[in-house]
Formats: sequence, C-alpha cells, structure tokens
Amino acid sequence: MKQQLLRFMRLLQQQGVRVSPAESIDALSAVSAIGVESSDLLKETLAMTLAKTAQEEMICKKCFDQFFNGADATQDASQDGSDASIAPELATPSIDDALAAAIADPDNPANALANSPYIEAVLTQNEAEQQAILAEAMGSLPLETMKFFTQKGLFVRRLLDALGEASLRQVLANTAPTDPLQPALEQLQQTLQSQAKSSIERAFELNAAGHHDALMEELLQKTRLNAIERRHADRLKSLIQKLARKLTRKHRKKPKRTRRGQLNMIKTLRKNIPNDGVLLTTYWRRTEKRKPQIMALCDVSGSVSAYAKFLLMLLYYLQDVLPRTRSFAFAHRLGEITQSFQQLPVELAIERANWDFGGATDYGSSLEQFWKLAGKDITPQTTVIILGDARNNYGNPQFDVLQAINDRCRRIIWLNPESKNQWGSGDSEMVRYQRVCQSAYECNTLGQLERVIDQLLTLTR
Amino acid sequence: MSQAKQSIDAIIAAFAEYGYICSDKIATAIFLATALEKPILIEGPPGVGKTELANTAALVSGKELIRLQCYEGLDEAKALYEWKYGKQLLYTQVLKEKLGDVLEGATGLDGAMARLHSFSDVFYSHEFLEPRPLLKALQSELGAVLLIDEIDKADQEFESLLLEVLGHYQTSIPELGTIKANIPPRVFLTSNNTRDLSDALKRRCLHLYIPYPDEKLEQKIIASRLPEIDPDLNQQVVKFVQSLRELDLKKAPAISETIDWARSLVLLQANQLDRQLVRDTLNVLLKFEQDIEAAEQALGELLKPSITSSSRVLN
Repeated sequence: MKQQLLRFMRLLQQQGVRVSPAESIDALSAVSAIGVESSDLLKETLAMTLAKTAQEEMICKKCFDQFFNGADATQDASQDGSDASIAPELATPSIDDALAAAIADPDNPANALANSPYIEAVLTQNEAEQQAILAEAMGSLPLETMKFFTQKGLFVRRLLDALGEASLRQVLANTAPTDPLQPALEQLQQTLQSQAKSSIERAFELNAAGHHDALMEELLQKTRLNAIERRHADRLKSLIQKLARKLTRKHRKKPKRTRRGQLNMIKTLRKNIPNDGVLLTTYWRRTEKRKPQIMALCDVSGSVSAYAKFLLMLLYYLQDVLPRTRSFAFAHRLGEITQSFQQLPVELAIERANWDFGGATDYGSSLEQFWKLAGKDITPQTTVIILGDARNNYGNPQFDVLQAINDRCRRIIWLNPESKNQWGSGDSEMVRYQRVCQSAYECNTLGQLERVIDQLLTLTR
Repeated sequence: MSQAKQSIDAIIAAFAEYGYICSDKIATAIFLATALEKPILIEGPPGVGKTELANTAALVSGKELIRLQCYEGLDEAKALYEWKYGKQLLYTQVLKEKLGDVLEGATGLDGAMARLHSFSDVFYSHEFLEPRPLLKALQSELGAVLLIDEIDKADQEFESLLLEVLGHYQTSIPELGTIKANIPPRVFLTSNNTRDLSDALKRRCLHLYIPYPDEKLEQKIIASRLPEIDPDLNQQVVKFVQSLRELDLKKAPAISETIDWARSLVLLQANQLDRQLVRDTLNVLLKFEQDIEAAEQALGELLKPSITSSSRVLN
C-alpha cells in the first residue's frame, strides 16, 4: 500500500502539484490514522494533506480516481470496461473445464500454462488474485520512462511477457486448429491482450500526460513568441500565469513600513544609560520603507503586438507583487490602460488596448504624451519599462524627452523583441535610444522575458 | 465500520448538537487534525462557516477559544507577547533605590560588580511578560482552541512568525528562551484567499476548502438553525439561493446570508415565496446595488423552479 501511495504522489508531482517529502510523510501518517477501508475517506484525506489550493485539490481527486480505480477494480469490476469483458467470455464453463483439465494433465501440451499464475487466476476467475499479479507485473516495468505514445506497444509486450503470455502462445502454436480447446485458448489470449493493453493505456494516460505538458512548456519557453502557434495560446496563457506565480513567490517580500508610535524600549534604555537611566531621548521602532513603482509602456503596433501581448499578460498577472504598476499602450498615440487592466479580464483588456491605440508607430509623440500624462508622477523610485522595436517610421525620435524621463526616474529598461544585430538598421532608432536607457535587452522568448522581469524585480526592491 | 469512520461519525453528531452541520469532508479534517496534531487551514468564500467551525470546535471540546483577528500591520507585539514597559521602568526605579542595600558591605568596584551579578536579573522575566493570543494559547493549562482569523489579511512577515508556533507548538523569546505548549492547542486558520499564502505555512497545515453547500446540506443547516421554519419554505429558500449563486454576481450570497434571509422570512410570517416578498427582502441576501438589480431582472426566471416544485409538493 505504501508503494502505491508513493507512486500516487509521484504522479501528483508530474501533474504539477508540489509534494515535498515532509508532506508525503504527513500524508502517510494521515492514511495510517484513517485506514484504507473507505475509498472516499482516503480520497479526502489525501486531498487534504497533499493539496495546498482548491485547484490542487481538484487535480488530486481526479488523479486519485484515475489511479486507484484500476487498483480497486476488484471491488467494482463493472466500472472498468476491460474487466467487464472477461465475464461473458468465461460464461462457457464446459470448455473452461476441459481447458482446466487439459492444463492439469501433464501429458497435454497445454500443461505449460500451469506455470503462469496469472492464467490460472483468469481461469479460476479469481479476480483479486488477477489484480494482485497484474499490479505486481506493472510495478516491475519502468513505467516512468514511458513518455511517448509510440512506446505503448513495447510496454504491452513486456507486460504480457511478465504475465506469462509466452507459454500460451507456444501452446497455441502447438495445438491443431481442429482441437476443441482451440477457441478457448484463443479467447484466453485475447483476454490477456486486452487487459494488458488497457492497463498500459491507463498508465500512459497517467504518466505521460504530465511529461508531455512539461516537455511542451519547455519548448514554448524557448520558442520566439511570434512564432508560437495560435493553438498553443491557451497553454501559453497558463504558462505565463505559472511564470507570474513563480516571480510573485520569489519577490513577494513587501517593503517594510515604519511602525510609528511604538517605543523601542530596549534601545531607549540602553541609549539613556549615560543619562543616569533618565529617559531623556526616546527611540522609536521603525523600519525602512520604500515604494517601488513600475510604469510600463507597450508598443501595440502590428510589428510587435505579438510580444506586447505577452508582456501585457505578464504585467497583468504581476499586479499582485507590484500593486503600483501603471501600464500604457501606444502606437500612433499613447494612453493609460491601468484602469481597464484592473477591471477587465486579461484577454479583453489586451484586445481593447490593441484596438484603442494600434496603428503606425510614432515613438516621439508617444513619449511626449507619456511625459505630459505621467511625467509629474515619476519619482526616483519609478522604473520605466518600454517594450518596442524602436522603429519610428523616420519620425522625430524626441531623445530629449526620453532623457528628461531618465533624469527623473530610477531607471529605464528597454525590451526589444528584435535581435541585437538588427538594432539601428533601417528606421530603427534603437542604438540612439539605448544610450539614454540604463539597460536594453533583447527579449523575444518567454525565457528571456522571465529573466528580465526577475532582474527587474530584484532591482526594484 | 472502521474505527476512523466511527470517530468521524461521532464528530458529525457532536457538531450537530451545537448546531453546526458539517459534511464528511469537514469531519474528516477535524479527525485528522486531532490525530496528527496539525493545524487546519480553512479556505472558502466568505460566509460559509469558516470561523463558526472553530467556534463550534471550541464548544464541542469544552476548551477555551482564543481568537486572533489578523489585519495589515499586525506584528508580534500584538500577536505573540509584549513586555510590560511601565512595570519594567518602575522596577528600575525601585532597583536604584534599593541598590545601596544590595551593595552594602561590598568592598571595591570588583566586589560591587560581583554582588550585582550574583542576584538574579528579573528585568526580562515571566513577571514582566504580557502574553498575547498566540502565547496565551500555548500557555493555556487545559489546552485551547486557537483561531487565527483571516490570515491572508496579515503581512507576509507575520506568516513566518507563525511557522514556529504552528509547526512545533512553541515559540522563542530572545530574552527568555523557548516556551513550549503544555497541551498543543487545536489551531484553525481561516483565509479568504485575497492573496496566496506562503508554501511554508501551507505545508504545516491540513488544507480544507469549504465550498458553498449543496442543496441538501444547506436545507439541513437552515433547519438546524431555524427549527421553526416550514420545510416547504426552507426548500424554496434554498433552491432560490442556489440558483442565485449561479448568476454572475459581485458577491454571491453565503450560508450566513441564507440563514439571515430565512430568519427574516420567518419573522415576516411568510410561508411561501412570491415576487413581491422576494423583492422586498432581497437586500438581506445581496449586499451590492448592482447585484440586487441583476437579481431583480432575473427574478421571474429564478422563482419559477422553486415555486413549481413547491406546488408539486402541495398537491
């Protein structure tokens, strides 16, 4: 049972529920307190000890059903289609009896089947025994390495071998087609195969789904954002959410606030010792307080809108760590989108930003508008992030405005989705803008985006 | 029936006696928390009885309930302990006056210092310690039920402060050393999920999510809280509230609001839901103007199922 539970926890890990060793110990002791008689109770217990959010609880329960339904089939064979199919096949006792007799007869070639405890269990309809042997055979296979569906055939074969199907094949080959035992033997083989297949299928669904997700996410992390296909958009969204969660967790620490009105008694006493213990000077408890603020400017024109979408999405989810973030969108003109970010769901907010401000880019006037709109709110604690390709359509780049912004703020970070060797080519003003900015990064995959935002959060704190 | 199952059923029965109808899930959590001596972190929408669960647990076990309401800016001086500064100051004054007596007969500075060191320092001692809820719960002679309410409202740093208390039922005071609990208190934490709690905190707790109850459970809860309510009306009320929760509302009505509403209907001596009555009393159930408007628009649709079903009952 412990093995089963540990495997279940490993499965949960693959599905994205973080299960630490301490938690698995807790879960095991909880299970020993509650017993394993009732599967509902067991399910609740595991969900309670292993899951940490309502969402994880759902995953946990779903996995539980998938995982233990197979193992619990002894109690409820009708739940599983493959197991139910055995019953009618064995409804012809006369042939079975004959087969059993043949197996028992040491002179009959079918005697070879007596070596396989599994076949014996199938013939005697001892389902508990069947399940036990099947589970053992499954346990002996390296199921964790099964990641692709092409591996399924191989695993079915290996499972059949472990169950002793080889001897059955041998017997079948040796029996004449006219032999009265032939149909019973064939049926037996079919039963074994279908059982092995469904077991492997189930194992694959459990195992590989997690692997597949992980692989996909790894790939998406490295792919250029504009090359990601539309059908992966959903996956990407959850990936960005995950990323935001990760960054949020890492940079959660809030700025400390002053605790005014609280006397620091220890310090007061200590510092007043020279005054003969008379408390002339008082010292108050206080801690430093710093309010980081981010202003993000996103180019939403056609050329970079694919990237802007992801940065906007990330900013949307990061509102939790950076409550004082203000977002702006621009192309031919600039406007603030903080409000709609707070009120609308993410897709709608981004779509609206694209709709309101999309068009041919004019960096110069956009910067100027930003300066007019938010210039007075920029403080030395403000970090300004600009996402754009700096392709200004040969307009006036207004360097002095960017310079003025730079003078007031803590730093400007420019994220450019174009690769570095294209900076400054054609109508790109990147090289000149770069001189004003504290830092400029190439940023066109999620991996890069994560790194940049991570650094950013470290520096703003 | 296994022993665990029996104890869980006993828990359900004991809680029901105090008017708290708990589902199997909740009872299992309570059983596990007792068996493993772990805190329970209760999450769920507001008004589903998170705080009430701790209150009832205290009543059932006959232990003292110590409640710590969390808010932004809560710190150890308010949650854990504080020194009685006033008395400490007085003590220093008294000490100064008595210093002559203490040092009498000592020769030279070394002698005086030796004398000074020889007597015990009570400046930081239990006498001057003012225990706050957390410490109170640890020091309680008979064990206690500690309710840390709305932990998500407290600051991040406060969570780390809780870790030692929740993990080992002990706390360290730099001047005094470690204080261990006589009897580990039963701890309940509630959270409305306004922010994610740290993993370290979650790891030390059993996680219990209380959703809105299903129809049957809610009817049971109302019947237990308002024994005088007519069963038909109870059914109608619950049905109406359940379908109301499916609307897109700013704040869906919780159990506590259903109870309030049912209570006001009983006060109004209604025995049947009708349009006018619902419209007049909707403000008990919904707390936002937009929600009330939305519900009023959907009123016809919402009332249809509950009324037809009740007429079937009457026939």
